[in-house]
Amino acid sequence: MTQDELLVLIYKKDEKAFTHLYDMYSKSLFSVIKVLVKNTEEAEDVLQEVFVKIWKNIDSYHESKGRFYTWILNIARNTSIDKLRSKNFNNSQKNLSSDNFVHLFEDSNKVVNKIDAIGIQEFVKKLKPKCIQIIDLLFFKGYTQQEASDELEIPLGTVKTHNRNCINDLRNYLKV
Amino acid sequence: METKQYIESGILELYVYGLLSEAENIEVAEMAKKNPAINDEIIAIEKAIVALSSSFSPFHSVANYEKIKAKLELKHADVIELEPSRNWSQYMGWAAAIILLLGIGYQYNQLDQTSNKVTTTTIEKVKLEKDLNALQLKNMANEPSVGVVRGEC
Repeated sequence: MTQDELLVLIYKKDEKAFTHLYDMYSKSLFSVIKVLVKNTEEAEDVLQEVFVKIWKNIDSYHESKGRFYTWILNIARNTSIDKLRSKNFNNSQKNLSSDNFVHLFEDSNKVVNKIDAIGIQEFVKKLKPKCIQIIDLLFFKGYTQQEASDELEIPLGTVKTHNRNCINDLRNYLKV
Repeated sequence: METKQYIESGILELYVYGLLSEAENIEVAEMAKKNPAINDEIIAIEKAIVALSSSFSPFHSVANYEKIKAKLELKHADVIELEPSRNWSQYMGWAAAIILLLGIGYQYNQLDQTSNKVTTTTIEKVKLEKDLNALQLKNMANEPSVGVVRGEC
């Protein structure tokens, strides 16, 4: 099912659409949430919150604003950051940028989509460390280009193209 | 050529990541609408990053999905059945009905057999009574001859 087909169902408020929505994006969003929130239980709570928000605010999404996936990705990031800032969340998780998404690899030994996942994980191991860092900061952690440039100590102007080259490597591997 | 440069700039990746300003977002969305090559590129980038992030997703419980559905009060969405025990009562009902039916069948059969026996017994009784009557008649018929025999003695 493509995103456009999914959107048609969602707008009709077809309840099956929710299942499709969840199947298509819950893993992707959960990995982003987990990178930010770290604690598994907290991350599951955030995932719940995110899907509730998506479903309840679906009418506020318009295609003119950008991709649907981008919209839900931002909800996932913002909800995770709110969680981190919330009072009852202790400060033990401060070392936000110390490890990247690849550490999820250890957590995902019992991952459900084993066959596809292991392939990509093996591929990512072969990716240049700079690529892992830049995808981690920009995509998973939502850093601005400026923040990524500071963190990685590379010129601001090269952040975008650097990231593109890394995504191209990934696309060549995935053939998309 | 301009399209190619636009794609190569890397702005579309940031668009998918959700890192552009609102104005930039609108600009890219409009470009994508006008230019299928840009739109296809965006979809391909999205596919790649969804695949990458999904493959690194740690296990999260199926129970979580049920919790979200409960929160949204979605009742008809497909459920991943883990515990078929939920249908127990339903099956119990069917089982009870089948047992009852078998019971009634058995009882009916028993009743049928018994009434057959009654009929057979009644027929036998009538036959025996007939035999008895015949014997009594024979007896009466023989009485005089017994007297003759006695008299001769």
